[in-house]
This record gives sequence, C-alpha cells and structure tokens, in this order.
Amino acid sequence: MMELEDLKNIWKDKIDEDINAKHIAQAQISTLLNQRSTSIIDKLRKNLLWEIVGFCLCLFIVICIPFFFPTITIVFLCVTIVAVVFLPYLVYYVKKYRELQQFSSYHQDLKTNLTQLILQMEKYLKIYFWGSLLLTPLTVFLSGFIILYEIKALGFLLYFDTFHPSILSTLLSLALLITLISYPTMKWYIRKMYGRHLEKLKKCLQEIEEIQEVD
Amino acid sequence: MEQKFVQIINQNQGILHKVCRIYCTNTTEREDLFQEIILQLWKSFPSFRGESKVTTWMYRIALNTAISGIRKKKITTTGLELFTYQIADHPQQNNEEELTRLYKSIEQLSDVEKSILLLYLEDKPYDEIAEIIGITANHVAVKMSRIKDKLRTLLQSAS
Repeated sequence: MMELEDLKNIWKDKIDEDINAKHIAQAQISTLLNQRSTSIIDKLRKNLLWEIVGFCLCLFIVICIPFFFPTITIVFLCVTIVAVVFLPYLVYYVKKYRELQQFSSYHQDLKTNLTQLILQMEKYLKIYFWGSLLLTPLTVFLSGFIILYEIKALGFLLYFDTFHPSILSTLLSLALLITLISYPTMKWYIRKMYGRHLEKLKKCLQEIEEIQEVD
Repeated sequence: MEQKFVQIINQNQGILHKVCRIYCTNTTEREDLFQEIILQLWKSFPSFRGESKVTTWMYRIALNTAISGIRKKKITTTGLELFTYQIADHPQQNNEEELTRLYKSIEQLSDVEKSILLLYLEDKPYDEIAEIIGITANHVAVKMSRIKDKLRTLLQSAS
C-alpha cells in the first residue's frame, strides 16, 4: 500500500501529462466567452422571465375585460385585481429578476457562496410557487368566464346568464378546486426541477459547518 | 480587458482542467463545466482587484461553479472507465494502477472533501485552502486528516 504522499507525486506527474494534452488555444478561450451560461442562477433568471411574460399576458387580459363588459362592477373588479394582485407582484417579480441578474457570489469562498446561493434559491422558489399558485385561480376563472361568454355570443346556451351569481360562484369553485389540485403538483414540479439541487447545496454547507463545530 | 483575461486563463488553465477532472465523470460533462467556469470567471473578472492571488481567485470560482453552479446530468459513462481505457497502453503500469485506484477512491468522496483534497494534492498551504473554502486553517488540518483516513480506507478496499 503506497503512502498518500507517493500518490500525490503520481497525481502530479500524471495529471500534468494529461492536462498538457488538453491545453486549448487563446482563440478557443475567446470563443468560449460568447457562449451561453448554463448556471443554476441563469436558469432561475430565465424561468422568472417566463413567469413575468405569463403575468403580463394575464394582466393584459384583465385590462381588456372592461372594454368588452363596460359595467361598473366589472370595471371595479378588474381595477381591484390589477391594483391589489398584479401590479405589486409584477413589481416584485421585476425586482427579483434584477437581483438574479446582478447576483454573483462565485468569487467568494465556498461557504459564503453556498450560503448566499441557498438563500437566493429559497427566495426564488417561494416566489415561483406562490406566483404560479396565485395565477391558477385567476386564469381558470377568467378563461371559464370568457369561454361561457363566447359560447353565448355564438348563439348557444342562450338561457345562460353569464353574470348570474350561481354561474360566477360555480366558476369560482372550479377555480379553487383546480388550485387545490395544482398545489401538490406545483410542489412536486419545483422539487423535481430544483429540490434535489437545493438539498445537495444544503448538504455541502452542512458539511462545512460541521467542520467548524470541531472546537 | 478581454486580452488580459484570456492571457491569465491561458497561463493557468491547468487549474480548470484539474477541477473538471475531479468533479466530472465523462468528457461531455467536463467540457460543459470547463465552459461554465470560463464564463463565471469572465463575469467576475471586472471585480477582481488582485486582493488575493490569481490562482486563489480561479480556484474559488472553479470550485464554486463545480459544486453549486450547475446541475449534473445523468451519467452515461464513468470517468474511471474512460481513464482506464486511456492508460491501458501506457508503460508505467504500477503508477497508473495506483492512480486509477486514487481516482476511483476520489469519486467516492463528497464534493467538499474533493475540493479540499484537490487543493492538498496541488500543494496549497492550509492558509490558502482555508481562504478558498471559508474556514480556518486549523479546521482545514482537522478535515484533511479525516479525508486522509477515509482515502486510506477507500484505497485499501480498492486494492
């Protein structure tokens, strides 16, 4: 059995030989600078951008509704939804997006980097989860309402009063039911997408912290 | 600035290849990680003021990227297999067998242990390892002693 010091020498001899064969030219390094990053932060940033696009589309639909149904109730409802739900969340989303764009902790030591990355990921996943969950009932309710209205406009289901409280409460119940179903689905999806990576990061940080508990 | 950066990377690219070899088990993964490390170094380069050595800065970014920066894809071929095939025709059989065992054992270490061991194999002083990991030199010494014990056991079981 060789000693570790001997292995260290073998490592150095062999690795240098191996690495010299992999040496890439300066021009190739310059080319790599123009490639796209596949880092976890970059992926989170891209996902958040899609969330913002989705949010803007919903916002657009909500803003358009009063033009088709110009009643005081509808206008009031839409303005409230925009002011209370959409605008604050959109501002928060854009703020988070900028934060992710500027986030860079890789130049710091491993422990600091892991701590900051875990914090950022947890924040982002919370926003992503609650944002998507918030959009679900709104999307279901509005889609259901528009579909019923269009069906009626085409001459079908003429006995239907789209604005009748029973219809609205059925739509609302359906929206809440789908939201309830989407809760575990969203949890599963987020865990599948980022959960394992987040657990890995936490495990690494825990290992470093355990080293410090030796004293 | 780009020229200066490319020169620095060119002079020290061995660091990046070593990190990729330790953390990735196949060629595709190594290439992806190498590219990502270069991009992260480039992103951090404007804020690099030279407070630490260039190599320390490079190790920090390379190890951070390898450990936390990218999500690993499913492994199809093991690095050990590739490595064994590469060395099969090489004349210095004994050394290579030992090195193959070393690689096989390193693969079983945790990501944090791999980073400390790599810096140890590269003859970095405990102070510099501490600066890269974010713990004290004393803690590095304690951890290194544990890694050595673990590695000894792994090497024994591999032989």
